[in-house]
Amino acid sequence: MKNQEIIANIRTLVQNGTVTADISALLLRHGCFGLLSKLPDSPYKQQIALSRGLNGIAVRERYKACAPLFAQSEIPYAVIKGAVLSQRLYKDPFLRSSGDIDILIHRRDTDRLKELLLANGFVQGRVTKHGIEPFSRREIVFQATMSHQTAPYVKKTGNKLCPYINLDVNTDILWGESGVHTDMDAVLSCAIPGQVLDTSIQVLRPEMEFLALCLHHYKDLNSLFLLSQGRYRLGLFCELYEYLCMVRPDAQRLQELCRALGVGQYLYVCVFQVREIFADEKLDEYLSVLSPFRNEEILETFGLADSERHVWEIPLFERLFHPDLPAYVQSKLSPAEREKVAINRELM
Amino acid sequence: MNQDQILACLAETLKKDPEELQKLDPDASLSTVGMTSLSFISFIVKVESEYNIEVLDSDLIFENFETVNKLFQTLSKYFPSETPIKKVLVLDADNVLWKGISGEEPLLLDDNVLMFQNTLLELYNRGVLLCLCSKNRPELIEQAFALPEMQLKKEHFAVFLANRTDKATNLRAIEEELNLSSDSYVFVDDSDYELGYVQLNIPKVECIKMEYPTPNSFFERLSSLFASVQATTDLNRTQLYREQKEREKEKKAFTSIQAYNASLKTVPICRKACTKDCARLAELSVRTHQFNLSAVGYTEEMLKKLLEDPDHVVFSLSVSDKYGDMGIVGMAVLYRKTIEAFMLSCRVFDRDLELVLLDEIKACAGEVLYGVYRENDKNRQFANFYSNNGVFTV
Repeated sequence: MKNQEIIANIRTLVQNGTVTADISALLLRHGCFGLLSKLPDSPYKQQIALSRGLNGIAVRERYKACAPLFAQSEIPYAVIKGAVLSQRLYKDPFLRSSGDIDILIHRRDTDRLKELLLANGFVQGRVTKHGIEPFSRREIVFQATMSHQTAPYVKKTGNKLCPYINLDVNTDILWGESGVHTDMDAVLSCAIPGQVLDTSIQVLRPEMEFLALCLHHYKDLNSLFLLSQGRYRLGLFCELYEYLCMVRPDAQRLQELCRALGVGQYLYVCVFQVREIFADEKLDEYLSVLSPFRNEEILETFGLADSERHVWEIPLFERLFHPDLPAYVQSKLSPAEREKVAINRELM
Repeated sequence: MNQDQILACLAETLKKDPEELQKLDPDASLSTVGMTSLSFISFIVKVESEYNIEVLDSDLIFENFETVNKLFQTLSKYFPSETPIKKVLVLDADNVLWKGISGEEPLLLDDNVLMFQNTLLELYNRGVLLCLCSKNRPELIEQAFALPEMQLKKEHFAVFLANRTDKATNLRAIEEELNLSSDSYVFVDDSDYELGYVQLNIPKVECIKMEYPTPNSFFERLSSLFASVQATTDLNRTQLYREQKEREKEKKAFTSIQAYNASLKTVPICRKACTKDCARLAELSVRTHQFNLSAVGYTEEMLKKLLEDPDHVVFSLSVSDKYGDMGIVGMAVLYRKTIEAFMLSCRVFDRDLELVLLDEIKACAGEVLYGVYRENDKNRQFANFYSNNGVFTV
């Protein structure tokens, strides 16, 4: 199937729920859960139902394990992505598959949170076939220093269907290696009460939630390391599109937040490309308020920092459905960049 | 923190000559000498392993280590202070706590004065001991304190001296009363003569000139001198010293420590320390110099790590009596059969409380014990404590 045909089917699917070709396998591969659920006759219905069921078990375990964190009132936080986003987009906390629960806090609170998590049975480590293997100090230092997250936490649950849960602690909504940090007090001032299952939590207001989601996805679509890991997927664009169409964050407020946090250029790129893919006029309002932030230098490039920026030599639709985009990206990297990617792979 | 050793550690990581790093502009980016994200991580891991510290996640930001100055600043909190900690602020009154001379002219308490008084109140709340040392007549000073605009009150002062005696003699009297060494004091006066006289006679006292209007640099300097004083205890230090004065008075009426203690209804509680004690124990360890047998100081993080180590036991000694609760006044660190640290606050000297602490250690580790003693100018008077009490000095 040609790229234009795939795009045409995606557009008719979101507009009137019809397709002229079977794009279900592609949607599954790209993590487009919302679009898959719109397909009238998806051969993956059973697979999705099973995945949803297992995801539900994991979500329940995650929220149970994080209850002490949600119950405390001293550390300002917000739960992002995962079940919160799934509920917001699909009115179903289990539909969007995720491997962990993501918490956003201020970096100054990481030590208090760590104390709380360690006291509640979490370990900074990875799950191996032998069980939980704690990270080395080098790995912990690397992750805290070079990314927007501390080294992930893991906890054993006792549930055979979901034996371990993972918790990611995010200390920024920008990428760690940029050296530029977001005003996290401003971000967390947008936290409001929310609920997943029976658990009361803090979530972000829609405008800030969309902004954080854009930056997260922009990172996936631009980081040399993540591109080499095959993170460039249609599902990222779908989520942004669904958010704008279904949640309808306030455009003016979004513009104000972009200006206050200095991140408008990244949001413009995301919304611009979403508009290109879905060709939906409902997005024009957002594109219009973000247009003052348009930056030609990052519109058709990849790489997060100026020093590592590369021009895409293939157009948007071609890279979306490229048979081996990681190999393409690798071929464009300098030896030093390849070494950096290899180090990230070893320590992340 | 020994900055040379830290630089040596950095030089080793970067494979550079330490002298090259010594010559580097302390505010220049370390990337100019080859610091990369990976060498930075290696440096952190190396420093942690060599000095048995763990840098907190909240400090693990590359920018915190990108110059020599920032690196020292970030790491300094993981090492006990080696410079004398200032604990007492002695203040002249006229033209310092107010503008003008009490009894001779109307006093002015403008915004600048009130800002200074509020700074002093903040220091007081953090545990800095305020003392007054004026050559004006006491009744005139008290009249000034009675003014309704005054933020500071007489009760904020641990010692209140208003007399014609020279200020160096008065400072010595305050030292004796508070039982704190000269290098714990900061003296603020508006007169170059008084500052010079105190500096000449008690060189270890930090002297600062007060001038109105007060520049921001004055406030910054004052606050930085007391930066290491943290209000980690719920107990008000001025109140503690006031209670101590009452004890000293009572002590004079007794001929034996036992009788004196009995009269005070002293209740010592010696036990193994827990995590919530660590902040106060760390504070005690860096503030105690005289009865600190191994001349050691601990950070809160170091103590927490010791608590987790099965080979170490940390003891805390708290005391209360009829005058009040003094909180934690002593501590010891035991490594198997060796007492690595043993210290007691000067506020409870001569009350045999060190023996209570030692008895608790013996009950835990047995009678055969070794004690680390590192002699210095301040702890020399306790050089024989271990040998006098059946502990082998090492």
